[in-house]
Amino acid sequence: MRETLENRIRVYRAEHKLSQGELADIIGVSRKTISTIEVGRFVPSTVIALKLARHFGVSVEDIFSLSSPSGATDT
Amino acid sequence: MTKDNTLSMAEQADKYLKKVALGTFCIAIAFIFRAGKMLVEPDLAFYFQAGQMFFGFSVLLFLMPATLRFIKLRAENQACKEEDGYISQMFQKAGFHAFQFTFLFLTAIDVFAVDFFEAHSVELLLRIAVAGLLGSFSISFYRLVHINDDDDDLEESIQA
Repeated sequence: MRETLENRIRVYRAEHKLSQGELADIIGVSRKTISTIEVGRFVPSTVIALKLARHFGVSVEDIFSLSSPSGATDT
Repeated sequence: MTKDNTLSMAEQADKYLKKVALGTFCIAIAFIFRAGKMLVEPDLAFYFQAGQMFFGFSVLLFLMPATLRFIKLRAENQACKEEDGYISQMFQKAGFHAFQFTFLFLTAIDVFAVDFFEAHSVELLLRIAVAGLLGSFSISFYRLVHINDDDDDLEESIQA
């Protein structure tokens, strides 16, 4: 059974009124990195995940979660 | 002020890696010309030599300034040393793909094309292998990177 990494970056970006480019500049990565994380194509490193969490003022688990094919989500 | 100066360090690092991959592809073409030169008639070899020189010098001309600029950026800014961005990861993944391709290619030659060694020199085999290694690296990199990502739908709403 393969689990997938889901994220709520888009939601937090909307709340903070940030574009992908602006968030990328704040975190110190490229816009492509943010966009590929958002769509689930790229699993970020722990460092990037922690930087995102720190910027939004939430825990890493609030942004990222594992979901199984059955639909259950583990945070 | 050039357009490059308005890019963040991370964007410039990504741009540099893309240039390196393009340069690698050019070197692969140069190696193909170099290998081809050994297989054609002497009167045609001149064209292959010219092709090899063209691609070789092209790499030097566009990659050398970019490399010097990037070394300067790395020295000035810590952000350029970030190696866990998407493009960096795809760069490493492409390197792994190139290793796989080269290993399979050399194994296949060793197992199935014993006659090849008798008919051609080892030098030719090495040139083909290097071209395959560099070519598979750059093609793999661009295939991994040039997948369309989602448009940033917040860009317009924020600017409005």
